[in-house]
Amino acid sequence: MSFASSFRKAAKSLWNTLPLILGTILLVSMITALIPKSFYTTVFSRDMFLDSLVGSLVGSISAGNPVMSYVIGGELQEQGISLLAVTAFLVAWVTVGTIQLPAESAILGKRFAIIRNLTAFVLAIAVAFVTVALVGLL
Amino acid sequence: MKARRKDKGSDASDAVISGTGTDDASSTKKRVTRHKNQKKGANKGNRGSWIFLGLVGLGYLVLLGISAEMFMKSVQQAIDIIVRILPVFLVVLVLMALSNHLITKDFVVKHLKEKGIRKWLFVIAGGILSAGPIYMWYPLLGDLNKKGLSYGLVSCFLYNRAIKIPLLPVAIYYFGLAYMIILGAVMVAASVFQGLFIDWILDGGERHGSDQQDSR
Repeated sequence: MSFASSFRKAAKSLWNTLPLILGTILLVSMITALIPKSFYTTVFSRDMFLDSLVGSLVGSISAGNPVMSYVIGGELQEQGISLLAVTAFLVAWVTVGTIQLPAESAILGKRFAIIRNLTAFVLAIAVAFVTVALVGLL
Repeated sequence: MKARRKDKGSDASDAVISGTGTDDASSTKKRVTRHKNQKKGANKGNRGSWIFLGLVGLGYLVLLGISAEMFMKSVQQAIDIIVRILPVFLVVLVLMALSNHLITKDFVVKHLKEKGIRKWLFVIAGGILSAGPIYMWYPLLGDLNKKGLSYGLVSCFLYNRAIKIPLLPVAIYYFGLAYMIILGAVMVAASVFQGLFIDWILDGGERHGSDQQDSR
């Protein structure tokens, strides 16, 4: 296949996914605008184990630039939220894509998208436990 | 699983359609029908994409009715994202074109279906070094998946996209260098674990060719 026809094929493939990408951008923008930063400090109970679950859950349904998760995570930690919960929140924010799920399902397959996001959700909690345990060893 | 393996022959059916096959007439008819059905499925999927965009647009109309300020804030944010990711879009387009040109099924079979950790290291590095929003990479990964990249490796790539080297200074500012190094290492390990798990669940530990249509 020549490069020109490869390029045309790629452009056509991207064009077909354009409504999904545009829809995802619009949805992410709306949710980011609707959920204020203060929302995140009201949902943590300050119980270590429950907070890690809540952290992963809130991180999973959040969307936006990862730098926002660092800022919010840093603020949460300053307000006494455990590092375990904050880590689960940070990891879920960047690894679980609830908002992007329709796009991921359509392009990579529904079964794959659901399993990937579910395992990423569980792994966010596991990663938080392992990371905090290792940091504690220092 | 049998049904999924059956569709491995989609390339063969294409060959028959183009007149290079040697099957009998009834077999050819069946394969032509399947080829048409696959095209119908693709069109249906594209229609779903437009419906999704339409529903989001409807959500924006509702938001406009509730709060014009929130509506403007959301639209402005969307415009900012679009402007920011346009260059990434171009990079993805070029990478997809290069992928179409260079990464043939034979190439994938030769390089990515090898046993060992080299393919995992390649995917981990690719995930970490790739830029832009995650959904920008779905078309490329979908394309590579069709060419033989296993679902486990796709998930490994997506997981490692969470490690953002350009954003590390901000993360280090809040959480410290030691924490970020440990978190990064644990996340890489988690990505491999997730990849192996997904391969085990979806591909039975190995790749079975272009079966993704069946899992949709």
